Formats: sequence, C-alpha cells, structure tokens
Amino acid sequence: MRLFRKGVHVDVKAILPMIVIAAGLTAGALLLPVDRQLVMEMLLVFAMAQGWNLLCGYTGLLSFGHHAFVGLGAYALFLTVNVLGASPYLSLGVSAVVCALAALVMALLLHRLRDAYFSIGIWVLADSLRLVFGQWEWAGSSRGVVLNASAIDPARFANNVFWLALALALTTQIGIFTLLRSRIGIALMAIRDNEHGAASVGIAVSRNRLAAFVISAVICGVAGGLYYLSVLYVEPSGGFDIDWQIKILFIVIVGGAGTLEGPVLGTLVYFGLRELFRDAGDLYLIFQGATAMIVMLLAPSGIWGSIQSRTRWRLFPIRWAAELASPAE
Amino acid sequence: MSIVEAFINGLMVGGLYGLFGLGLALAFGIMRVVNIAHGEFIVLAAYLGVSLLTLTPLPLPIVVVCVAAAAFALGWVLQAAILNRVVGPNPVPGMVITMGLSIVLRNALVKIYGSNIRSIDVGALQDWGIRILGVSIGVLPLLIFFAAIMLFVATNFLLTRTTVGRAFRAAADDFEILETLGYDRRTVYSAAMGLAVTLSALAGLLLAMRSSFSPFSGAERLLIAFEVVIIGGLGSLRGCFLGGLFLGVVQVVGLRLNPNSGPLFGHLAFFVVLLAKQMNFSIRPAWRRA
Amino acid sequence: MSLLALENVDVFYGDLQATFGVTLHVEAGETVAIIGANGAGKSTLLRAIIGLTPTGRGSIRFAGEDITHQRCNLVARRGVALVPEGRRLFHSLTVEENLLMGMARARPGPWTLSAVYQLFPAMRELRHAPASDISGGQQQMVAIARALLTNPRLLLCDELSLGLAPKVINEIYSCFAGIRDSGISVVLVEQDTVRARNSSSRIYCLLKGRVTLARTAADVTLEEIKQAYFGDRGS
Repeated sequence: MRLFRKGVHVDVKAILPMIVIAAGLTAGALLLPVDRQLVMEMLLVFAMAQGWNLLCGYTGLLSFGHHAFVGLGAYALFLTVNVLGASPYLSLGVSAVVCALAALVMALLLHRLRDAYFSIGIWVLADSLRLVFGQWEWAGSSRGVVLNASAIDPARFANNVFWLALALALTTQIGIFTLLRSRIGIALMAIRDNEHGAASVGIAVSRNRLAAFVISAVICGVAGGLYYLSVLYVEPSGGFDIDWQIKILFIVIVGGAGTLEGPVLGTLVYFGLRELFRDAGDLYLIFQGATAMIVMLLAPSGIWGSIQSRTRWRLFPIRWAAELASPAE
Repeated sequence: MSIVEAFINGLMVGGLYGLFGLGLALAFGIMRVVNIAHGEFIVLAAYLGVSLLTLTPLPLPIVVVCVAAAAFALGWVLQAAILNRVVGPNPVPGMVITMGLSIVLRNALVKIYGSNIRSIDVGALQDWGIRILGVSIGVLPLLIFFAAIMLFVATNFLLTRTTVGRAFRAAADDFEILETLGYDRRTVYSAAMGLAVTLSALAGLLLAMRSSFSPFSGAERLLIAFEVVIIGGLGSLRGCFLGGLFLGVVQVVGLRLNPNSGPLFGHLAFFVVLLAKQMNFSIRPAWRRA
Repeated sequence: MSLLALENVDVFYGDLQATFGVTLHVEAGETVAIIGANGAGKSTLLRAIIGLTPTGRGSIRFAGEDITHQRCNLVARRGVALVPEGRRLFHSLTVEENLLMGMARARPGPWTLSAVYQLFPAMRELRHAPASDISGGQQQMVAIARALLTNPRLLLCDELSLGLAPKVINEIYSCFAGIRDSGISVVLVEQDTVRARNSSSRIYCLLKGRVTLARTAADVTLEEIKQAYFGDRGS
C-alpha cells in the first residue's frame, strides 16, 4: 500500500485556488477604493482566526482566552519600541517571542484542565492579564501606552503596516496549509479525532497540542501587535477585550471549524455583515450571537463544512489518500 | 473597613459566590453541559428584579419569588429547546451555543436597560449595621448571607431527601439506567437546568442588593462561579459553599488592600489552588452528599 | 399472544451490525435463556428490547404493542425492566436510594421495599451503605431488587454471574423462584450454559448475531448446545 498526496501528480492544482484567491484579494485591496484600515483589520482577524482554528478545529482544544495574546503582542511591541527605541517592524518579532513564552507558561498552568475547564481557565488567565496591565505603572496602567511617534515614518507607515498585515495573513494561510499536509498535520487530526487512539500509535499528544497552542498564540500576538501599531495606542480594556475572542469564535464556527477554507469564508461573512449592519448597533451584536447559536445547532460544521460534506470540494486539499497495491489485499 | 471587617464581609459575599458555583456545578455534573451564559442569567435576574421593583408595587419577597419562577422557566426552556439537542460526550457545541446566547443576552440588556451601572435599592436597610465584638457588620449583608445558607440547606435537602433530587444525582451517575427505570432524561435535565439557573438567579438578585452591576458584569460572575467550582470541587455542595467563602474572603480582603484590582486576587487564588490540587479537571461528576 | 415477540431484528452499532434477523418470543410467566459467547450480540439484543440501542430493522412487540422504536423510558413504563451487565448501580447513591429510584416510577404490583428485603435479607444491613462500597454479589442483589421494584412484567437479566464467585451466584439464582412466583417473565442472558439450562424452560443460542438454537431446556442436549454455541469451528 503506497501513500501519496491527493493531487501530487499535479502539484500546482493543489495551491492554485489559494494563489487565485490571494491574487484576487490583493488586487481588489489595491485597486478598489476600499478602506485600507478595514481591509487590514480583516487580514489580521483572519490570521488570528486561522491560528485559533489550528488549535480548535485540528486539535480539539476550544480556547476562550486567545485575546490574552492579542493584548500581550500589542504591549510587547509598544514597550519594546518606547523603551528600547527599536523599529516597530522588528519589534513584531518581540511580540512573537513574548507570546510564545507566555503560551508555554500558560500551558504549564493549564495542562491539567480538560475540555470546558481549559476553555474557561484560559479565559481567567486573559482576564488576569487585563487586570495586571491595568495596574502596572510601567506599562501605563489603565491609561495605556501611546506609541513613540518618532519611531515611525508617517509617509510610509500606513502602507508598511498594510503590507505586513497582508504578509501575515498569507504566511499564516500557507504555513498552516503546509503544516497540515505534513506528518504533524496528520498527527494533529488524529489527536482531534481520537486522543487515546493517537497516543496508542505513538503520537506525542501533549507535545503536538503544545505546538499548536504556541503557534496559535504567536499568530494572535503578531496580529495584535500589528493592529495596535496601526492605531498607535493600546490600553488594557481594548487589547485584552474578549471581543477579539468573540470575533475569532464567530468566524471559525460560522465559516467551519477544522477546515482551511472556513476561516476565509467566516471572515468575509463577519465583516460583510458588520459593514452592512453598521448602523444597527446593538441589534447587530445580538444578531451575531444568535447566528453563532443557529449555526451550531443546524450546521455545526459551519458554512464551508456543510458545503464540503455535500460537494467534496477542497480549495486547500490536505487529505491523504491511500492507494491499494492490488485488489486482493 | 478594617481587615477583620473585610474578612467577615468576604465571608458573607462568599455565600453568594458559592451559589454561583453551585448553579454551574449542577449543570456540569448532571448534564455535562457548560453554560457560558451562566453569568448573563445572573445579571438578567438582577435586572428583572430592578424592573419589578421600580415598575410594579410588588414587595421585595414577592419580587424574589417572581424572579425565581422566571429563572426556573428560563433554565427549563434553555435546556429543553436548545441544549438537549447537543447533550453528549462533546462539550464544544454546548459551549459555543451558550457563548452565543451570552452575547445575545448581554447586548439585549444593553439595548433595553442601557450600559449604566446600577444596583437594587432596598431602602433604609442598606444603612443599618450592628456591632459584634467591636466589629461593625452591615445588617443587609448579614441577612443576605443567611439567605444564601438557607438556599444551600434547601438544595441539600432537595438532593438528598427528595425523589427529584435523587433523580438528579442518579442522572449524573448513569443516565441510561435512569431511563430504564422510567425517567425521561430530557425532563430530568430540563428540571436540573431550571434548578441551576434559579439558584444562580437568586444569588444574582441578592448580590445586586449589595453591589452594583451592568450588562457587562456577566463575564465576571461566570469566572467567579467557575473558580468556585475548581476550588471547591465539582461534586459536593459543601465544597461549593466553602469554595465560595474562600473566594469571597480573598476578593474582599484583596480589594481592601488594592481597591482597583477588580477580581484579580480571586484569579490569583484560583491559580494557586489549581496548581496545588494534584488532579486532572474534566467534566466527570458524581454528585456527593454535602 | 406472546408477551415479547421479536421478529427479524437487526441491531446496528454505528455501521457495525450486531444482530442478524433475530426472531424469538417469550410467553407470560416463563423464563427464557439466551446463551452465547462474548460478542454474540446478547447484550445488544437486550438493549434493543428496552430501547437503549435503536433497532435498525425488524419488529419488537410487547404484549401485542409495537415497541420497536419507542423511547427507553416509555418501554420501561410498559413493564420491561433491565438488570444490566456490570450491575451499574448509581454509585453516588446508597443502596436504599438505589432501591427508591426503582420505586419512583414503578407500576403497581407486589414488589415493595419490604418484599425485596425479604427476598434478599442481607440487603437490609447494607441499606445505608454507599452503593460503591459493597461487594459484587451484593451489588447484583441490589440491581435485581431495583429492577423488581418497578414491578415489571418482563425482567431482562444480563450476565448475572459475571465476575462473581459460584457460591454468590447460587444465592442469586435461588431467588428466581420467588421472582417467577410473582408472575414475572424473565429473559436470562448467560454465558454459563449449565446454569442457563437449569434455570429456564427454553433456550436460545446466539452466535455472531444469529439465532443458532431454539429448544426447550428439558430436551436440548449438551452436544446441541456446543454446536450452536461455537458453530462449525467448535469440536
């Protein structure tokens, strides 16, 4: 029995849809008279969602606390720039490192918590960070931190941030796509489907889960850093606002958890609806919550999940197929 | 307020924290359901109390009964109409659904009541105090504390001495066998959720009489409930009560030391206990006698 | 009209088919044994009868009424009780609380708390013991008593002797006269073929989900049982 990747004989076919989508979106963003800030926000939230999806949809770990990393990434960037005078763009690296370390520490604190206990436990951690930063004089307490204006070049700033956001989104998508097509991807999916079964065939469950956790944390951290960089100001109740987590949750659930296409769709749906209902205020938020409930009840695998199960389309194929050597086997 | 007074105050509010935890633990333990909207139900009860008190001539005790009845109905409907569909080994759908519900409730409250902070006015009672052994204690907090204890005693009685309560505990142990004895598990679950929401709603109403709240207070209440469950242990009434007391003391004393810290001290105490308890936490139950 | 009539029953566990066209019947007042090796489908059949596992195809009739797809609690209310494999007492309840649960939704009938204490006098001392603290044999008695307290017309017993010492099994089986006297029909699922033959009037044997034997206990020979139990591979 030989193992081969679906579509390896026409490799281009595998990544073609992604190239088309990316090119189309980039062209649209550049040529259409859209609000750059909005597009950038979309790209960043998309990256966060895709990272969170790696954890939830592929490892089965539902986190209600990833807004912790959004805030941490932002603060790490701001403090590095303001205190060390570093370039904001390079400080994104600090965001990544800080979030990776934070994720490792959190894993230590939370590793005995399963299922819902983990989900709420990490929420407590996020809330704790919000409160700590709100008290931390050096980090500006509840007043927050304003980015040192001399660190940026106002003429090129907006463009730079935009390109970086685009780069993050693409890197996340391609990176996770590649990851899932590798052995690690199969391991993650095995863990999601049957943890004990996976362990019994030698998959290091904890280590793989930890890797996914750290990766998702880093992505959210860098995205958070970029977002707050673009507005030049961060404070605890914004950076650590659970609203970030809610956006991510909505996007992944409505789009389809456990699929690569889901978050793409979910992001478009989320922002499309938000812009459409811009004036409805609270009503929109109520609608948003209700939508998440209805989707979970009627189409738990999300929009893309439902499409996928009916049509077997895959824009980002990550499944492996086994070829039988002979029918007699 | 001296530290001693803060300590006693913490104990008294801890009784309510214990009830928050009890509501969550009942749902965890019996149905394996995690109600993320738990905190929003608590706040909803407080708002309902406010509305009834300001818009109707009903006296406080009647208002309390009305809120309890409404809470039971709400919990029942939530379970029967929605959560019974997703009961099963995978807790994720229930969590996502109740997370969505919490968003709906929170923003509905903002729409109806606005985002201002408010509290329930019980009149002159708020100002009364007594002195015991040189320590000054508010009468209202004391009464609320006794109410909380009564609710715990009543719940213990329900669980240990009534058929319904035994059915709840049996459902937590083995819902299949319970069905072979003639019980419809869906009805048992709905009743259990009704009870869980009622207890939490009553605690929320009581808390609103001594603290302020807004539509955004739900998350904090949920986290308190969760921390109580972890600290006190899932399957025991006594654990919830003592866990609540512990958390209440830590919270109030912490606030006395650092008035801007919000629930931070409670969170820290939670992590300390979490690290100290050498066990895995999963939604496995066995509802023990208090 | 039979009390219980199964016709061509197929039960599935997901995609796996556990029983194939099982047809059997139980008359009022009689004790029927179902024997077979592990995995033959015996427990699955009992679960399908009481409604814990859905029936894929075929029909199950109880006192003439179709209960094939009826919910478990409704089937139980009609008068079917289960003594499950592994006892499955409510482990956070005491012995007496377990019994009280049996009585909670019971049908009217002769089995009361004092009646079951008379059947199993040893239970009386254990009434307030947590169900998780008592021995396997004691648990089995409580499980049977709990089922009896619902005053069923049909008692389904799944592997009563599993994991118990012979002396204890004897004690348990000796109570069956008392159960039969109250008019209850019994389906006894057993791996112990000798005991099954001695305790019942008719025997069915299942092999890989199919009925391979249907004879009266008095007439059937050990050879026939062996053949039906093991199939062609046994010798």
